[in-house]
Amino acid sequence: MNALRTIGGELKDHLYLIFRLSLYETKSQYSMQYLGWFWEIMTPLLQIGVYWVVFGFGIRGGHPVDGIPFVFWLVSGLIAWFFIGSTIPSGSRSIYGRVALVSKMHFPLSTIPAYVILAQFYRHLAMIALTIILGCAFGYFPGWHTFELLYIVPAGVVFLYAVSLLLSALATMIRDVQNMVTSAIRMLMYLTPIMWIPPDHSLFKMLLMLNPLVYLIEGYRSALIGTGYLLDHMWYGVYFWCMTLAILLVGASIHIRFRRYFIDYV
Amino acid sequence: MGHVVFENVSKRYMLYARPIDKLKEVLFGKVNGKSFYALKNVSFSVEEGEIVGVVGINGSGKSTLSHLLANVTPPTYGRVTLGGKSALIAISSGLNSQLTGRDNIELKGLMMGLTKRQIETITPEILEFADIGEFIDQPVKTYSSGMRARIGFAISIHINPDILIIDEALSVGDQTFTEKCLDKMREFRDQGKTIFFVSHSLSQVKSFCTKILWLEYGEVRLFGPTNETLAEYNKYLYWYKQLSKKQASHYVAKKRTERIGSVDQQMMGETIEQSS
Repeated sequence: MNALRTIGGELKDHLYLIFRLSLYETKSQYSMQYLGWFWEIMTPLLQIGVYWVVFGFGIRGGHPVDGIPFVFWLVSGLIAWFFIGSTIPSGSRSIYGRVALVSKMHFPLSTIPAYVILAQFYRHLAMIALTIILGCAFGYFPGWHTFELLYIVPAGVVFLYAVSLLLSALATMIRDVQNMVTSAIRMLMYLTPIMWIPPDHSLFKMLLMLNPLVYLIEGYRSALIGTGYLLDHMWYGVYFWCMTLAILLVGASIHIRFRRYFIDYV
Repeated sequence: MGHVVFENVSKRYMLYARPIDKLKEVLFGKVNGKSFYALKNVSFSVEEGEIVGVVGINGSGKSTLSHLLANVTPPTYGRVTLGGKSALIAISSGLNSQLTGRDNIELKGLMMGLTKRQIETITPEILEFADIGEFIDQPVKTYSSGMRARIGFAISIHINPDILIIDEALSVGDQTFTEKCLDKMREFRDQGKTIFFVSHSLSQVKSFCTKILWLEYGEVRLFGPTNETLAEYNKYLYWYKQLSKKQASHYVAKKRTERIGSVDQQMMGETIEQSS
């Protein structure tokens, strides 16, 4: 609990630092390419196109999901996954790759995962806006349910910070963790019902829901489409927050305990 | 302000027989294996305003010493007391090569804990000192090694450290820039700041330093006034050179085994940074 308070204080005291460093993070990422921002939009669009063809037409034969056009249903969950799937690997790599550059023991290392996540967050906001426009094209206009974004987006960020804090500490000390993360993300992409629908009222569906990412994906759909999932699944929300808190507590205590030695592991 | 005290400082690195031993140490805190003393029982104290030359042959622990001074890594045993903020200047001075020189100034400033306003104040001074013209808005990867050293040096001295550690950084600059740096360092000394100068160039060390710390295989061999210590060091270098190949390798091997020990538990030293 004390470790968590220390980290909370560090983040609060260094908001300006986190903000500026996140901008430089995006800047150095794209300075290499001539069409940096173009790829930012193009890569996800191509991916959406492929999943639409394979899952929408190939497997579902073009049928809508509960009356919702498949492509809109797909995109509203997939943008959450794009954020999760790119943030967790880069978050877990974040400290190992930068601790030598920071090279000062009193630099608040807990801000590193935070600014790496924030750097990905700008693109994510743009994608949420594009998804809302896509919804309008299908006749799903923003309404009261859109305000759920104010809950589910911060929930996602907190969850991702918790996971990144834990993984970045482990991956700095044990390099194998990074490979595990990469494979796990690849599997989770298909194990999380993003592109397919699990059968209703089955044990299988219950087991899937142990994965807190399901809550985030369905939460995004609830906010962007108005499926009402968040209000119907209050207890699942409690489970999600308990998991998040547990990961955050473990991550914070490992981070605080070992961070003096991170530089010696690089 | 600016004083430095080392009390029985050791820095130990683990030598793992197998990678799995390292994993066990992380997971269970069980230490199993041998360790290598990069520094062993180093004690010395330096008053403010001194310029200390650090000399020693390769592998004597000079870089480890500069990392401890710069507060980059904690000691394994003992206590390091730093009388203020310290800054390390090395050839690879931690610049982000994708970003421009100007961006790197802000980035480095933020990482050293400066505020937005402080960074705005020092930026023009850094530009003037580094004197790299148009290139300041080009990515650092396009810089020559001299330009890199210049911008790195300029940033580090303008964040106003109380203790400055220079690790071979001047060796890549040209004569005029080296002179400029030496002038700046004399100015620092007059302000009561402490400078550590790690160098293989004995002539630079001799003309510039007030004291010499001679490290040999992780231990302090001699610490004293420049001329006497350098004379002894030169004698040692001469003696080392006249050893036959076999004698030399025997000597190095003997010294190396002295630095290896077995470990039963993790210890923790401390670095105290007194605010100025």
